[in-house]
Amino acid sequence: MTLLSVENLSVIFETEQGIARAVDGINLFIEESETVGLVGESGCGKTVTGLSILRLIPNPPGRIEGGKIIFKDENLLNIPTQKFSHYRGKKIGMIFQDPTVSLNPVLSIKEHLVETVKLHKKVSGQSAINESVRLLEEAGISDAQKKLNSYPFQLSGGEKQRVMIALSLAGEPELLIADEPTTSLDVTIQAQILNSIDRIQKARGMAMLLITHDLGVISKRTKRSYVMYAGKIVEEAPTKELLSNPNHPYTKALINALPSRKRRGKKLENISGAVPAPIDFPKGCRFNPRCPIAIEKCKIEEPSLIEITSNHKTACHLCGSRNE
Amino acid sequence: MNNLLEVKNLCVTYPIFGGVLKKKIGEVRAVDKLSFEIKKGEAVGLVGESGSGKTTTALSCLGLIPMQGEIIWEGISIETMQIKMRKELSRRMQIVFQDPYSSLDPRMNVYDIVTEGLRAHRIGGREDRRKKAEELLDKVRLTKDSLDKYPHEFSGGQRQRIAIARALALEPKFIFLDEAVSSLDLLIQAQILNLLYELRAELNLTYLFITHDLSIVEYLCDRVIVMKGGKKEEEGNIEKIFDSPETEYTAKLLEARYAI
Repeated sequence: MTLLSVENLSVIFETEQGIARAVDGINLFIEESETVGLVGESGCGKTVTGLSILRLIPNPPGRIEGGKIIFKDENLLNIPTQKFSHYRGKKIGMIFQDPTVSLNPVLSIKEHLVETVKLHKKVSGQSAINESVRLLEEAGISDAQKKLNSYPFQLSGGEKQRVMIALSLAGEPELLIADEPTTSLDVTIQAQILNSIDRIQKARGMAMLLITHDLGVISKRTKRSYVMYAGKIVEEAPTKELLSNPNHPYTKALINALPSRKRRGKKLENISGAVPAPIDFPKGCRFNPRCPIAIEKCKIEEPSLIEITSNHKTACHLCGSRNE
Repeated sequence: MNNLLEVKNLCVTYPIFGGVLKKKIGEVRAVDKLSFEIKKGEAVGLVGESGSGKTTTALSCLGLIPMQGEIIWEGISIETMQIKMRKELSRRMQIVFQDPYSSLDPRMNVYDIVTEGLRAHRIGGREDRRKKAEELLDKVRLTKDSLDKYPHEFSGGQRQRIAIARALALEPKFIFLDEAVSSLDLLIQAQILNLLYELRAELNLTYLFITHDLSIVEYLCDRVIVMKGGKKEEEGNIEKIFDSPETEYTAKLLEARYAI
């Protein structure tokens, strides 16, 4: 069953330079207890997508301009702000990218957790503390009782991220949005954290939207993935298929840019330029100025996301015609 | 003599201050009796977790922090070097830092940033420096008109190109690349890696590539040194370390990575 479905979502930011269309008409869905990846470079709109599901877009300057976010048959965008706290953190949890800035430095871990537990569980006193300890243990913190009294600066990066995970689990969410949960961590810690999340997910049957720029993480942790470029979803496929048989020239470029031993002594395939700024997206296909195979049509007409083989959708004029 | 750099028994300690008067109450050994050699023209990877002493090693070789031990450059120990030679050495050994957002002075324009080393070493006149700066930008594939701009006008990848141009200004033989591509997006990272690859061949450079990304080491380096807790854990060529690591720690590092 579909747990979350984002339909035609558009998010804009009003800036002094003009209107930035950070997310522009995207569709995505997540099944119950499914792990879905959302990949793309900085500035492609993946974090904004995550934030808008929880209605955390700062307004002004940001605004959800159109679309629906359906969570279990309910459009989250129509829920009154006061009632939204039943969803934010409770039914949908989120882990942010940088654990060093997402915890309050003047509050102890205990204060962080107890406040959250009290809010979601309607318990108080000792039982809130017990629950906090249990959550920390579930998130893989050893010596949880002792760590409860520490402050964020006394913890390592990995431990802080585990505290973030414990916080996001307090409301027993059915969906977890993990925005680059391991980007600032060492590889060994990254593996530990992702293993912990995986274990919790299995135990709770929780779904996850894993937002990352790391194709390696996507390949090991997700069944299905979306690739985002300049506010649009350009490709959607089962992860294995996506990585072994990419259709979109952008996805291909990402995969070919990965350094590895196979490519030793050769130059990496290289796409010039950078992601365009969201106030000034190019006409037609947004990838066309950097695309090695762009034709005239790409500069005029914007391609839509169409199914090319079963479950594999691509937004590219040239991929559709190849299979026709 | 084909060892460009030799490091023998390098030790670096950082003091720990504590108590009411902030007196020294102890010390951390960031690098502990580390020895290694780097041959001319080699690209060597230095890997390990955060806090294993990778950056400290680079900084102490560059003479930026106090250290104990012996550093031998082209067969001559730096302790026995005359001031003139030390100056020469400081030209030939350069570094590119991790974060191009904090490693470039926001109040200096690109021309000043790139030619600061030339001015410090009193190389060339004003005209020569301008010409040199233009050449350098050309080397890192930036346009001439960038010279009068300030760092905030550039993207992360472009800033890292400026940082590389600055490192190249004094015609170095050896460059420390301290996580030089870690903060960049994948496609930009590929552009910079290609640039480093080309420059190495073009200018006959030697690299010490400090990184936590083992795929980059596999791609770019000939040899790898694994560090743990300030000590050398293992050392060898790429095939040896990646295919049959001898220590548990290296095996753990390799196992933890997610390669496609």
